[in-house]
This record gives sequence, structure tokens and C-alpha cells, in this order.
Amino acid sequence: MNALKGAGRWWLCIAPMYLFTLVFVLGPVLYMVAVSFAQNEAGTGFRWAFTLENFSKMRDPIYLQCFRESFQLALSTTVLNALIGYPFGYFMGRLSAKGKRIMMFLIMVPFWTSSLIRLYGWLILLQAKGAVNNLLLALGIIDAPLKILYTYPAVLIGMVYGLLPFMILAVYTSVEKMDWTLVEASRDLGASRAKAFFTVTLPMTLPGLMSGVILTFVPSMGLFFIADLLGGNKIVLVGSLIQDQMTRGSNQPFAAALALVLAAMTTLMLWGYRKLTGTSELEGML
Amino acid sequence: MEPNETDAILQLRDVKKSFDGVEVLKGISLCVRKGDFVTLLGSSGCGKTTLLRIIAGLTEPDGGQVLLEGHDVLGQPPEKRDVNTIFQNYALFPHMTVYQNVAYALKIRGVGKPELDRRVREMLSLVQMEGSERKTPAQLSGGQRQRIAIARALINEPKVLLLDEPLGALDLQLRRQMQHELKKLQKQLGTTFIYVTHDQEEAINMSDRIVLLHDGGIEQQGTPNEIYDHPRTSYAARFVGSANVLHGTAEHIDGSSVTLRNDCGTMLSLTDGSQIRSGESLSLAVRGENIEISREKPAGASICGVVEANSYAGGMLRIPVRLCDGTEVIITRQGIHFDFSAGETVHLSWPAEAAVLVDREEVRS
Repeated sequence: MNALKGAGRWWLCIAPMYLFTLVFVLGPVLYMVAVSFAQNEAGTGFRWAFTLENFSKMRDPIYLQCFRESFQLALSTTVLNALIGYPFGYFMGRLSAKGKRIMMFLIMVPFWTSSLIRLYGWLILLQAKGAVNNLLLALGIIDAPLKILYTYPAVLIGMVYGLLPFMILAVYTSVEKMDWTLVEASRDLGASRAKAFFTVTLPMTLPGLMSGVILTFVPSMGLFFIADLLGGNKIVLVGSLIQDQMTRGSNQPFAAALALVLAAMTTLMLWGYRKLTGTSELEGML
Repeated sequence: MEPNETDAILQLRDVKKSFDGVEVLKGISLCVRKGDFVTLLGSSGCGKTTLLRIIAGLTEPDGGQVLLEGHDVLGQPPEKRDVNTIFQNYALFPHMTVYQNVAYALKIRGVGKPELDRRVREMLSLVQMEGSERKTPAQLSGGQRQRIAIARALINEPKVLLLDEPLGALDLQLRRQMQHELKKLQKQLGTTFIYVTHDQEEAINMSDRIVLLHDGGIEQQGTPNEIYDHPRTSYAARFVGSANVLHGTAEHIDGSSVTLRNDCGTMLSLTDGSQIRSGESLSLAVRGENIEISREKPAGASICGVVEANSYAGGMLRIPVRLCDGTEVIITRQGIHFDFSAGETVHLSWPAEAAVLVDREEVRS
């Protein structure tokens, strides 16, 4: 009897959390799914219906191109992030306790400022007479200012910059947990430094790298304001398209359909990635 | 006989190491004879693990030499040294199967598949772990992990095998069994073992030679019998034989025995053959099981004290007796029966053969 009462109270405690999730997460998703099948009515919003028109519209080469570009950008961002973030996270994990604290602080500092404002910073740095060009000119690497801003590389720089901390922290978490006697054992058994890294350290820290990949790939599929700001409307990603359809285009059903397809694609890719790498547990994630 | 430079497989010369200004090894010189089972014995912090890591190449010493078969190996990375280590926590690779763990060293060296297969099977049968090839370390018990670690380290046929408290994580029963098996394995293979432990019982059971380390230096080295029966210092007597160390002044020298006097009475000890002056202050070591206890004052030399609460541990009854000067003497007896109760005044005595003089600077045995 008492146990039952106890259990009842326990449920009472966590019920608000479930209710909140139900109402504010599952609810909107279901709403979005419903809207994606609705009929758009220019000017007045939409009319509830069941039409596949919004989905078939995506076969237009313009939209396909948009999906392809988004995927390419997400992929390049992720690869670059892994190449920069892994060594960074690795060496950070090998620092002294004090060094780790300082690095962690330095990584966290940018988060105190709005990401939008930090992007304006890049805008200033990358412009024709900006710091990057001035530095390259001063060093004699280039003769005339490069056009970086409003190009694909600018967008890539912005994306890598924005998502790098997640990769670093994911790798760092697994390097931190690494048992270094394993590397000593490997050296003791005849492995060179490099061999020990590739046969022991890398496989042992792979879960961190993989969650880093997911933590950067998933957001970069949907991020639109970086491309908008640094790409100057020349690079249209799915994210920008959705936002555009929601506001200026005022075609909510089409926006919902785009968002649904994007989410489905991302989920499918994650599933494929997990199948491919054969991991079920991911460092720093559930 | 002490190992010398001609039959030594491993030689340390004045090896020094400090960490953050603290001198951990204060110039260790040591010869290890080929095929010997040598134990580096000492309490935690005595530098024994550091010494082992220096031999393995995992730590660089500040000074001195490490010679393996006469060649200085300092500066050589661990992978180039013909020694292998069994780590305290075994350090098995968790992402590899038992087979991959054992095969690791040969695989690195590029040994071909048939040879590799044969050697791994051979090693697994040596440690009685056949059939576990496809398991992962997480699926093994502590004792089984220990066996795989041994197989993994021995597959390379190292000249010297280094073992860093390998039995520390096992329970008492398993530890005794593994002691026996390790010793058997070592005899069978003829490999030189350097074994680090803080457990004197382990050291006595397994070693051909014991090197007792204390405070970054070698306190005493010799066969287990030598150290157990003839400790040279009070530290060695206490650590290896769990002996009581008592102090007094030389009063009467009679042939091979000497009588010491202090405030609590008189005590007998063997002399060490060196000159003893009457009135000289001396220390003797006597083990608890050799001390006689009685209510009446015996005829010969004896000291008196008061019995305190006794305790039973490891098949032995430990009876502390507080002497009048505050010193505690531990008497040990087999079984749990003891006729004296706490608070009783008793007299302690022992034959001269049961005690040795310790901490004598000029002593040469």
C-alpha cells in the first residue's frame, strides 16, 4: 500500500516533465507533419487538406540543388571539423589540470556572446579591407585583396568556426577518460609512437570523434543564418529555404514539407552512419 | 652468492630519479642474474615501481646506467628494449579480443598468420586459457585477465619480464594459487623475472633473491632466508620478518651471545662476530613466535610488561605486551588459545639464537 503510494508520488513528480515534452515537442512536430499535407492559400495562410503537392514540388531542380548544396556544406564542415577538432581535443586532453581549465575557459568564452554578433565579427574580418586580407597582404602572400566574403569558403569558415567547440569537447571527453597505461603497454609490446596511436589511442577515442561528427553534422544541415550572412544570399541552403517559405514566401505547408524531408534525411544518414561504424554508444550523448 | 657483473643479464648502476624535486631513487646499483626470480620489495613510495618503469623505458632516469646483457639501453624507447611488462591493472586492450591482445606484439613485428596462430595457441595453453580467444577482456574474471596479461607479455620471449604488483587486485586464495603458478611458469621458461610487490609473504614464497627497497635506496638484498634470518637493519627486520626491535646497552658478552639491559630487564641476542664494547647501545630483532611468556620471572634474562587486548588474524593470535618503558612487543601464537588475560604482568624471554643484532654500521656477515 505504502509502496503504491510512494510510486504514485514519484509519478506525480515527473509528470510535468512528460507533459511539457508532450505539449511543446511532440505537439509541434505532429502539427508540422499535418501542415505539410495542407493546401497553401496565397495571402490567407493555408487550408486543411490532404495533398502531396508540397512534396512533389521539391522535385524541381532548384530545390534539389538546394538539398545537394546543404549536404555538401554539412559534409565539408564535418570533415574539416574532425581534422581540426580531433588533434585539438587530443592535446587538450593531455594538458595538466590547470591547462585543461584554461583551455575549457577559452572555448567557453565565445558562448557568452550571441552567435549572430560573433558572425558580424567574421563579416568585418573577412571583408576586402578586413584583418585577414591585411594580414595576407602584409605577409606578401597575396598582391591584391582576396574576395572571401560572400563566397563558399566564407560560409565554410563560418560553419566550422561555429561548430568546432562541439567537436573539440566531444573528442576531449573521450581523450580525458583514456587510460594511458594502455599506450604504455602497447609501446612496451613493441609499437612505435605512431603505431600505438593508430592501434590503441584512435580506436579508444573513436566514440568521442563519432559523437563529434554527429554533433556537427546534424546542426550544419539546418543552419541557415551563417550562409545568409557570410554567403550573401548566393548560397541557398535548405534551412534558408524553409525560413524563406515561412516568412517572405508565406507558404507554410511547403516549409513544413521541406522541414519534414530534411529531418527524415538527417535521421536516415545518422542511422546509416551508425550501421557503418557499428557503434551503439556515443560519448557525451545518450 | 651475490650476482656479479659476469653473470648479470641486467645491471643498474647508480640509477637516480627525482620527481618535482623529491628524490625517489637515490642511486640504485643492482645486478640481476639470468634466470633468477628477483623481487623488489618495499612499502608504497619506496621507488620500486619507478625503478621498474626505468628498466622498461617508460620513465627516463636523471642519472645512472641500465645495462641489458651488457649494453646500455638508456635512451632507447620501450619498443626497442627486449623486456616486457605486466602492468598493475593488466592494461589489456579493451577494444580487442583475447586473441588480438595476445597476438599484438607479434602482429606489430609482422609475423605471418600461421606462425602467429601457432604462437598464440601455445601461449594460451601455457596459461591455461585455451578456448577464450574470442572473448573480450570485459568478459574475463580478474584471475583470467591476469593470465592473458602474462601470455601477452611472454609471447615476445623477452629477456626480462617485469611484473608490477600483478597479484594486487586478486583475492587472497587466488593470489596464493597465482603465486605458485607464476613461480612454476618462471622455472619452466627460465625467463628472468623482476617482480615488484609490497607483500613480504609473496616475496618470500616466490623469489630467488629479494631486494628490499626503502626510501629510494637498497636496504638489504639476499635470498629470502638471508633476509628473514639475518636482517641487517631494524627496517628489514620489521618489514620482512615482522620482528620486534628492542634497544639496550651491552652488559655481558659470553662467547656467541650478548646480554642487553634496559629499564625493563635483560635480553639475550647472538653476537654478529664483531667487537662489542661493554656499555655500547645496541638494537636487537626478535620475532613474536620465538618469545616465551610466563607469570613467574624465569631464571635467565627476561623483560617484563603488561598484556594488552589480543587479536586474531591470518591464522595467528597477536598478543601485544606493553613494556614498562612504553615499547610494544608483539607476540604471536598459532591457534586462538592463550592463557593470559589483558592487564596481567608477564615476563618475556627468548634463547640467544632467536635474536639478532641490527643497525650495526660496521657489520659484515
